[in-house]
Amino acid sequence: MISPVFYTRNYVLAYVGLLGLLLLSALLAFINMGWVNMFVALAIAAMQGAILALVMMHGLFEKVLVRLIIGGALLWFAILFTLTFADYITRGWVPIAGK
Amino acid sequence: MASESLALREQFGSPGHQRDTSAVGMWLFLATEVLFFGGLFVGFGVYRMYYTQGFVEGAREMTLVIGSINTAVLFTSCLTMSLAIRSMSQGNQFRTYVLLLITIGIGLAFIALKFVEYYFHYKAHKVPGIWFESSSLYAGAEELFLVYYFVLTGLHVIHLSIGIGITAVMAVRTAIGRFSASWHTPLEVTGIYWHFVDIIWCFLYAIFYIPGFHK
Repeated sequence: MISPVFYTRNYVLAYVGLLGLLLLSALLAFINMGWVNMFVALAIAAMQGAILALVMMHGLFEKVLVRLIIGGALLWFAILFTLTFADYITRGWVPIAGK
Repeated sequence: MASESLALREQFGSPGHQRDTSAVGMWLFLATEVLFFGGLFVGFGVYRMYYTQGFVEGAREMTLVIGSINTAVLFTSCLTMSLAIRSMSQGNQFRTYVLLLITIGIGLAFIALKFVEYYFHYKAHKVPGIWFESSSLYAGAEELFLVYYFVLTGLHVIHLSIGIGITAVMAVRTAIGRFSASWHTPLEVTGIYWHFVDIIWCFLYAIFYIPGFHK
């Protein structure tokens, strides 16, 4: 077979998992955890993204080149995120005269 | 079969080689999309760090119920899209066609719900730069939150609309018998794009709808 596919039950299981995570995310929004709320929501979103990428998009079946592209995209995003926040978070840490 | 003769281009050694090349092309495009949306997500994060209270007040304008229903709607479209591709891999042309039409319908339902939500924001005078009123001490930051909200969700709707258009083309091509069980790469690549648009929405839901409940 040329195209990678799962059995129907795998797609249905992934779908149920996605809905379960959505329910969990919505329910946790009612619990006051302060700034942790959004990070929990983002972690759940990352899990949903992983299910979509690995099962629905057949990421599990793709060849090494595609995995490298996915890894490269995530790495570049991590660099963008880390360097930007490293800059903004550390501003003011070092006292500079006249600033 | 017409689809077989149209399938393999001369520069490829085998249908598998051609399929892998198409998939790599789509994944490369999606890598650029990660950075496109990534810049906006990082910008949102930086401003949220600086103007936390204003952003939380902005998030209170969101309707968790509509956002959650829309998320479930998109997940359902993911299932129907995946099942459509699976049906084609089994050679079931009619079922694929029906599932693609359902996917298009669900995508349109998402956009309709999104515009209902936009209308609520308009009625509440929460359209930044055009129709915005707030008595909050953090009105400026609240407006900035709404700028990110409209830009990011607007871009998402544009991406989804493109996905609906491409899926409609795939439905027509399925109906006229251009795909077969052994060759349906364009359909598969469309599916990869469709699911990516849903992944973006997962993160939009997390940053816009969840933080509005607590100070």
